[in-house]
Amino acid sequence: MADDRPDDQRDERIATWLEPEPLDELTRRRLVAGAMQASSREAPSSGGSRRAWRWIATAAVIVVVLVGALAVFTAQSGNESQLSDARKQPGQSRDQTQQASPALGAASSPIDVGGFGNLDVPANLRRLRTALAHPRRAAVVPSNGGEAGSPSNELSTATCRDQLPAGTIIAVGSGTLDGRRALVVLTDRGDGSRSIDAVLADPCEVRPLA
Amino acid sequence: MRDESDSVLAARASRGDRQALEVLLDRNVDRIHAVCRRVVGHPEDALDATQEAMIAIARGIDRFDGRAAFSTWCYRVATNAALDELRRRRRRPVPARPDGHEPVTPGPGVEDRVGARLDVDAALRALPDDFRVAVVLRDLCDLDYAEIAEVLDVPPGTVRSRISRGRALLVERLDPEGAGPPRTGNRLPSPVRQNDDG
Repeated sequence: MADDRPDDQRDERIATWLEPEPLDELTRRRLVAGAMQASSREAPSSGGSRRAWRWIATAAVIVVVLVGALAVFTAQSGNESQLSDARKQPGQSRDQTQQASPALGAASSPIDVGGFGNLDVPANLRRLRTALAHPRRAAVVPSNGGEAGSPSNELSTATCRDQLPAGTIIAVGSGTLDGRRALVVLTDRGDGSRSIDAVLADPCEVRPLA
Repeated sequence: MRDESDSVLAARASRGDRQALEVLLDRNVDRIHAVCRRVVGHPEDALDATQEAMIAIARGIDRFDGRAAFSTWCYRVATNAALDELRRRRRRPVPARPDGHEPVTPGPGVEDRVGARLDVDAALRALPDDFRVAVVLRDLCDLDYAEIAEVLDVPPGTVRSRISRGRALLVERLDPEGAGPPRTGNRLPSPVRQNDDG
């Protein structure tokens, strides 16, 4: 009986019973050839499909990168052209700039370079001058979308704004001078020169800074 | 190439070497057929299962990671193909032909051989699939318990239990008096453990 020998030994008697008829040579060849054919039919398609997917993925990544780069380039060149358009309008008043067509929108508004605190402190004033010299780099995104309360709006309501030099207002920063609220304005005069002026409040006063 | 081990051939085949794959399949077709033949129980269905298993091996050779012996992986694929074939056969209508009937050529002792084959097939058929597979893998394929556990993805204790009960049922049917092998004259070279380095 099979139980007479240890369980983990092969039972030679059962092995003898289980041995099947051997395959004839023709059947063996047919089985091998069938498997080879089936795998060769699949191999090119699956390999090709894998390759195709790899190409598609690569192409998709390239397209995404190109579209992104194009979008960034378009945005930058748009800003540049709008800025240069603004600079090419000598004599155009600040109000004209600010009331430009809706198509220009926020781009035609002066760039807000942010607040610099007490401008009686030379370091703060220096920082503000640097920011005005590179307004696009220093531009801040207003949390209220650039509407009410923005330096541009504040400037447009200043009663003494007509005392500013003629030209195009490029950028506006803010702070305090002599303890008074101050808007510091960079103006392109149209003759290649620029001026920096402070518009002080209470009472409204324009004070040249450069 | 014929002298190279299965693992070397498998590595080459997985890299796309068709000749290595062909040698590998040719070398293992007997053991795959042996499993399918005894698990499925019907010669023609066993050939179908063998073909399916070989196709699966040829297509999936790049998934063979070499952690187990190639033969163990073959047995796993063959066992799954045989069990799939059994499930397909059970869904089919009952065939008109008598189960286990093989075309045979006339010759001396043919009745004894056919009779023995029918006895073995009938006895195996009476075993639950789990027992039959375990006994076939142990006593025909000579896998050890750990290998069978890996092939069947069950604990070794379960393998031991299935083999023990399967053997008892088989002996009960084929040799109830304990008088040795019944009417079987077909001692054949074992298809297992050939050219395998695992």
